Amino acid sequence: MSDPAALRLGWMLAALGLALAPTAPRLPPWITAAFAIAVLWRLAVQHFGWRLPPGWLRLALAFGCVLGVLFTYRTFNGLEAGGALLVVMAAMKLLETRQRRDIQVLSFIGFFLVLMQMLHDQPVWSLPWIAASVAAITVALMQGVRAGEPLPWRTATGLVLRMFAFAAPVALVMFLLFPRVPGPLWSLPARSAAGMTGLSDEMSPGNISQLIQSDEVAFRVSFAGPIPPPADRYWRGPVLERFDGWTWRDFDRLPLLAPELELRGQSYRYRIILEPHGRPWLLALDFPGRWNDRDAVLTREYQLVARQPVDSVRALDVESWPAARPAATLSPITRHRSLRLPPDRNPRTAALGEQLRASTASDREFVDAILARFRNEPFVYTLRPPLLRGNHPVDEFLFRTRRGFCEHYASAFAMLARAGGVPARVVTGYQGGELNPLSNRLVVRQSEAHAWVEVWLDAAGWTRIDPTGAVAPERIELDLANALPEGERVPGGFLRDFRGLEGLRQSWDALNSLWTDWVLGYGPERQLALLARLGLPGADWRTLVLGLTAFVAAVMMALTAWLAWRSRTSRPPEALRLYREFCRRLEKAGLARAPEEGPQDFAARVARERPPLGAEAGRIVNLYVTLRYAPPLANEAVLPALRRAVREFRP
Amino acid sequence: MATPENALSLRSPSPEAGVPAASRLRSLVARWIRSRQGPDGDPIAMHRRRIYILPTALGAGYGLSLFGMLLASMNYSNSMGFALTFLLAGLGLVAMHWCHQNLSGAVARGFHLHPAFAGQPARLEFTLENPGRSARLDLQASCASVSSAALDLAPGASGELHVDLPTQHRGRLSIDRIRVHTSFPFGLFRAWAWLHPECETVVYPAPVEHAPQPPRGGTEDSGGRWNEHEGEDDFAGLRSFRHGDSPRRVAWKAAARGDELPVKLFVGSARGSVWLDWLSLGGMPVEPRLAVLCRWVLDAHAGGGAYGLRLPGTEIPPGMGPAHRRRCLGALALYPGGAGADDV
Repeated sequence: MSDPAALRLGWMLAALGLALAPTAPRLPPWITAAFAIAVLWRLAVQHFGWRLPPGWLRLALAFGCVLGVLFTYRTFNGLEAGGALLVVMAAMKLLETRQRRDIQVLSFIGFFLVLMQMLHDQPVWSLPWIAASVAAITVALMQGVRAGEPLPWRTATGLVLRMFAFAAPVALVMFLLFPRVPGPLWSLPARSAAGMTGLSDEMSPGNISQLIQSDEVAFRVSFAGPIPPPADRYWRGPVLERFDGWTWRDFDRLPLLAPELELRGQSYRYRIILEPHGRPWLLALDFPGRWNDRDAVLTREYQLVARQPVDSVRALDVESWPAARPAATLSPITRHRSLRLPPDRNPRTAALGEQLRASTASDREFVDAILARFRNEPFVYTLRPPLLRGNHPVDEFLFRTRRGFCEHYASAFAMLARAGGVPARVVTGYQGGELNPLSNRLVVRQSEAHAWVEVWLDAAGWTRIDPTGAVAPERIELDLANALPEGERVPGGFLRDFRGLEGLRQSWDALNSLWTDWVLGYGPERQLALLARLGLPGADWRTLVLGLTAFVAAVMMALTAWLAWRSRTSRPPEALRLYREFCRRLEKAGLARAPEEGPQDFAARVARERPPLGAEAGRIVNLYVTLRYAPPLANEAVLPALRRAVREFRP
Repeated sequence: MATPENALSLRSPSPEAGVPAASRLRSLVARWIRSRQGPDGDPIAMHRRRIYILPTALGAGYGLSLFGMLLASMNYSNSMGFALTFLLAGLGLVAMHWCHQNLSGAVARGFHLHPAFAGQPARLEFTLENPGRSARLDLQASCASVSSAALDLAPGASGELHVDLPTQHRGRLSIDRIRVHTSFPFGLFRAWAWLHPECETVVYPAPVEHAPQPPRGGTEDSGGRWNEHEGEDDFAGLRSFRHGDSPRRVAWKAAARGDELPVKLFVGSARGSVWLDWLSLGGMPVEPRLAVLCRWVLDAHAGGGAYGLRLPGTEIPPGMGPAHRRRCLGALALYPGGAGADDV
């Protein structure tokens, strides 16, 4: 592999491989395969001296691949399709790589591949990998562009790392000070939420129990002040009103126009840092009254949503009032929506609801009666409920299986309430959260996803009822692990069983939360806060650009100085410097040394033209010649003598 | 003066109608650079004042890509995207300074332009030194849009750069300026320096492949060979030793008496030499005639005998050796009526 072209290609292929590896599992297998085939083909071309595929074949392949992407994604727009197109382009470019220029284009594609991976997700552990890919692409670019033979890898890597050492402070300051524009510049096709876990906008039996299989962090919360008790930690997500007998869906998310909530009682102020989930909802503690994100809206169902899907880490400050009193009147439209039941579905449940309501005096008693029924009859709270297959799943659950997860109880409860004439709706979200003592943050995971019910009681308005609490109070007071029956365990939660690993897990989470908060969540608000801390409150973009320019200029000056110092000329030996000084003094006295004149000829001429100087000049030249040409050991005593002689030489 | 058909010409052409504005601007800039740098000696140190730097097409592409990355990061509000974009932007800035420093401080010396036959490349040679303590990589020279191979210089090292300049016509060839450039490290920027050394040579006429034998006058000896010992009769005097003199011509007896090495001088005798005569090719046009004469000179030199050259207005007495050959070929090259000097 000493062939320079092969080396260049090898560097580039390795770098592209590094950049692509983390994205590969997300891509459709055929695209990864196409890339691998292109790599092998190109290597074979290099190794066996084959010819590169002809133009028409490359064109046909490229066309085929682009069509393939179109068929797979139905669009070229958006992150997934765009990323796939990028990979296909890299593969096609490989097949025609013969010149330096192609390598350069490949390296640019490589940088975009890294960017694509970052747009997808950016956990803290991927940082070293990303750094390695960027460095490798840069080295490959340097090797590819170089006119001569590729440099030894140590030299090349050393050079690139030194360059990054200067680029890093520039990047850091630009990161902190570059004016951040909030929001997208143009609307993007919503990123498909397929690859991301999170609450859905519908709920059917099995939905949430599937979601809680994931141990991923949904969001982290840091409270300014007291932290609410576990029983108050209801994080409100999508509110579902439409029921078709099987699935609960949300209607629309219309903004709340008039301030309906009466904010009272104790409030909690907190900062919530959401992991991207590809849906527009922002989660907040019941009931959010104040928040700092102009892009966030409170809907008529008191749900906080953003105008755009949450595709990247998002931080917002919210203040919530758990005891807030909702609106006192129910609009006819909402009442109608919250009472509607599909005809001919779940007839036994409907009959039970009507019968229970008839046997109770008030709506409140009716609700209590349903809860009592859940509590007293042999209902089991389990992660693995039996499958419900029929057309009447709620009937099946209530009268036959009686084993279910929160979504079963919420669904059954809401249906019973509606059948009894009490407006009801299902609320999904998260319940609970684990406090990390290291970061002092509440970590809420997907495994804490939950569903509960809100019923309309004329005296109190919308009232939260959690039927799960009636069946398994431990779920609300403690956590899921304590609520599950013997033999069932929280998925992904096995780490929690080891005492020794607990600390490790918490430190890891604290690191992650710092990363999410300070790096991923660094946005316009964080920037303003930082500027305020730096003593520049309310700095506008002009100040930012000015500061940025000044700092970048300073770094570049340091770089220039370092580069100049690095390539400074070596100082001539002292003997030579002394001899030059001797010549300079003679030149001032009118005796310039001719360029071709050797020291001894010069001394002889000095003696001829200025006899009084002759002896001293001869001595100096003899000392100098001794120093320059005698073995180094002789220099010990001669150098000081020459130094003295030159200093005292006054022609 | 450059000729219109001369592809090599870079020196400011006379303002002619039809010269595109771009090339006129270029020649204006070239003149301005020359006047602000002043005349160049040998060696030339490439200090900061004479280094120019601009992004390459690739650099512009890099900038565009960064802009695209910035837009993508803004659109997705992606902090890591911003970080990557800014890191690469910083890298671009660093590359610019690195590229500049890679050239700044190098020293060029020993410019030499070798003569050539028309149609064959004339080689421009010079030495590049790296007096600094860090390596300089990927240095190239170019002259008249011909580039040399790339040169890497270790700290304190020096190396040769050569550019093979294409020639078309016989005549005088002088170079207008040399560009020493580098686009290390990433090819995003190119730094260059213009050097204007005094460098001139002649381009000999292209010899014809086959030429008739030169007509033999009555003055050459039987073998047409020159014998050193025969010439000893024509001893003309002594001069001091010069580098390249044959030791056989040193007057060793005289040398023993003093501390200089005297060398015997001889006067070339007309006997035993051949005359290559312009008039013997009567009736041929000028250039083919010169081409034949050129072939004769080469053959006569290769044959090892002494030869003389007669051109209208010029007569070079018979002689031999590389210097004589150069002189004869030079006379052919500069014979009036050629296409003119090839200024590069």
